[in-house]
Amino acid sequence: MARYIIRRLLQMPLLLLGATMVTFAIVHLVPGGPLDDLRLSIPGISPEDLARIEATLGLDLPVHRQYLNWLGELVRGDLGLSMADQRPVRDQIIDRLPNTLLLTGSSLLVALAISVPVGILAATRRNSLFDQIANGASTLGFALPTFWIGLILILLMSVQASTWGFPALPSSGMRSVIDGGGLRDRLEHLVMPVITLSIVQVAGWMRYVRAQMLEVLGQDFVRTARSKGLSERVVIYGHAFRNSLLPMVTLLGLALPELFAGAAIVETIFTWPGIGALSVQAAANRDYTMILGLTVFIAAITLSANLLTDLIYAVVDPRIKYK
Amino acid sequence: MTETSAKSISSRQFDEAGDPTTQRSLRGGNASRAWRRFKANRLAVGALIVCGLLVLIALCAPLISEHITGVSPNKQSLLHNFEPRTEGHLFGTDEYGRDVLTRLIFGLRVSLGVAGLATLVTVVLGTLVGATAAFYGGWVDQVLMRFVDVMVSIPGIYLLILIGALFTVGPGQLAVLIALISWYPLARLIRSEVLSIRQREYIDSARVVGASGHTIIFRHVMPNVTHLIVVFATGAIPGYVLTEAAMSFLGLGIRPPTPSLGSMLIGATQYLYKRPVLIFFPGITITLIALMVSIVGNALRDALDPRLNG
Repeated sequence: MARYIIRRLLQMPLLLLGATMVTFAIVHLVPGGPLDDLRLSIPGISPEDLARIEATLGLDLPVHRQYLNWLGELVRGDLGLSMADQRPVRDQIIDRLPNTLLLTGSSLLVALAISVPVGILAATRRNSLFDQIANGASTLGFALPTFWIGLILILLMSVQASTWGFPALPSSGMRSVIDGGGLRDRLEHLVMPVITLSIVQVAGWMRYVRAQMLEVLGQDFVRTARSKGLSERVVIYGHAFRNSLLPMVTLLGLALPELFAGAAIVETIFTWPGIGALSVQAAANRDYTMILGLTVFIAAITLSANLLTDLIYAVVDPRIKYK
Repeated sequence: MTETSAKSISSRQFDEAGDPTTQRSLRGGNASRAWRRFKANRLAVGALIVCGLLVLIALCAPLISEHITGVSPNKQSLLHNFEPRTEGHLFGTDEYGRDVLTRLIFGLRVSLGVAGLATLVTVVLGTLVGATAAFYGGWVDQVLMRFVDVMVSIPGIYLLILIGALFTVGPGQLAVLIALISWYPLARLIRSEVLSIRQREYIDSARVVGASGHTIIFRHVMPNVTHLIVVFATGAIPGYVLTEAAMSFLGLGIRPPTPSLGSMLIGATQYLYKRPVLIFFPGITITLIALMVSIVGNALRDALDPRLNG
C-alpha cells in the first residue's frame, strides 16, 4: 500500500502539469487574444504602441517560452495580474474562495441530510410507493436545469412572497448593504443559492445511497444478522448502513468538482461573490490571466480531492489490495 | 447468478464466432429481445414517443413557422411586446414583440441539434480513442490514457467558460466543444471493455480459424461494445441539453438573437419582474427533453444489459 500511495503522490504533479499545458494550449490555439481586443477597443492605436505592449506582456516570445515563463511564475505561486483591474489573480481567488466553500459546503450538507435517510428508506422498502416517488423525484432532479430553478426560486421567494404576505428573501449577494452581516442576514442570503445547488446533489446521492444499501442488504452478513434475531433497526442502521458508508467516501471526492461546476452557474444567478461567478465575469471581460489562473486552480483542487479520496479509501478499506 | 449469465453469453458467442450468418441472426435476436424488454416498460415507450414528437417538431420548425404560427422567429414588433396569449400568438410575445411559440420551436431545433451533434462527436471520439488505446497498448495506450486523466481533472464547465470567453461560438462549434470536454469517460469505458473482450475465448477461436485483425475488431469486438455506447449516449444527451442551455444562459454559448432554449432565458430573466411567465416556456421545454431522454435512457440500459440492473 505504501507503494500505491507513493505512486499516487508522484502522479499528482504530472497530472497538474498536464492540466497547465492543456489550459495554456487552449488559450493560445484559440484565435484572437489580448492584442486583438486592444485593436478593437482602441481603433486608432499605432503599430508601435501595439508592439510595445506586446513586448511588455511577453507576447512576442515563442509559445514555449511564454509557457515556461508562465509556469515558472505559477510554481512560485504567482498567477499574474488580472487584465481587468490589475490586481493579483491569486489574491482575488483567495479572497473569494471562502465564499464558494461556504456555499458548496452548505449545499453538500443539506444534500446529504436529505438524501441519506430517503435513500435508506427507499432501499428498505424497495418497489413501494415511497421508493417509486423517490426514484421519480431523483430522475426529475437530474433533468431540472440549475439556473432555471434559481430563477423560479427568485420569482417565488423574492418577487411573489411579499405579495402573498411572506417576508421576501434577498435574491443577490451574501449580505445586506445596510445593517448586513448578522447571522440571520447571512442565512437568509444562503437559502436560495443552497437550495438551487443541492437539488442535483440530492438526486445523485439519493440514487447512490439506495443502490449501495440494496447491494449491502443482499449480502450474507445481513442475513446472518437477521437470523441472529437482531431487530430490523439494528440490522439496517448498525450493520447494513455502516457498511455502505465506505464507498460513499469515493463519491465525496467526485462531488467536489461537480459542486464547483454548479457554483459557476448558481453564483452568477445570485451574484454570490465566489470563484464561480468570478470565472464567468472574467470570461465576459476576456480577462485571460484570470481565466487561466482560475482554471488551473480548480484543476488543482479537483486533483487534490481525487488524491485525498483515493488515499482515505486505501487506508479505511483494508480489503482492497494495491499493486 | 451474474457469473452464470456471463458465462452463457460468452459460450454462445463462442459458438457463433465461426459462422457469420448465425451470428447475424443471433445478434438480431439480441436486439429484438432487448426491444421486447423495452416495450414492456410503458412509461419508457411513452417517453420515447414524446422524444420522437419533439424531434419531429424541431425538424419541421421552418414549416411550422411558415404555415401554422405565420411569423419568423426573429420578427420583431416593438409595439406588441409582452403581449399575453392572443389570436396570432398562442404563448404571447417577448420583450421585442417576437412570437414566443415560434422562438420556442426554433430554440428546440437549435438545442436538440447541438445535443445530437455533441453526442455523435463524443461517441466517435470516445470509441475511437478507447479502442485504439486498448488495441495498440504500449506507449499509444499510455499517451492517450494519461491525456484522458488530465482532461478528466479539469471540470468541463470551466473549460467551456474558458473557450466561450475567447471566441464567439455558433451552434455547431458549441456542439463540438461540448463533445471535446465530455468524451473522456467513454474512452475509459470502451478501453476497459475492449481489453476484457480481447481475453475471451471467442476472440481466440476467431484468431485460430484465421480471421484477420480487421474482422476481429469489427465483427467480434465492436458489436459487443455497442450496447455500452448506446447506454452512454442516451445517458449523456440530457446533460448536453442542460449544458447548452447553461452556457447560452451565461452568455457564452449561443447568442441572441438566435433562439436556443438557453438564450431565450437571458431575455426572460431581464424581465423577470415584468413578465415572469416568459421563463417558464423555455425552462419547461428543457426539463421535458432532459426528463424524457433520461427515462428512455434508463429503460434502454435495463433492456440492453439486464446484468447492470441495480
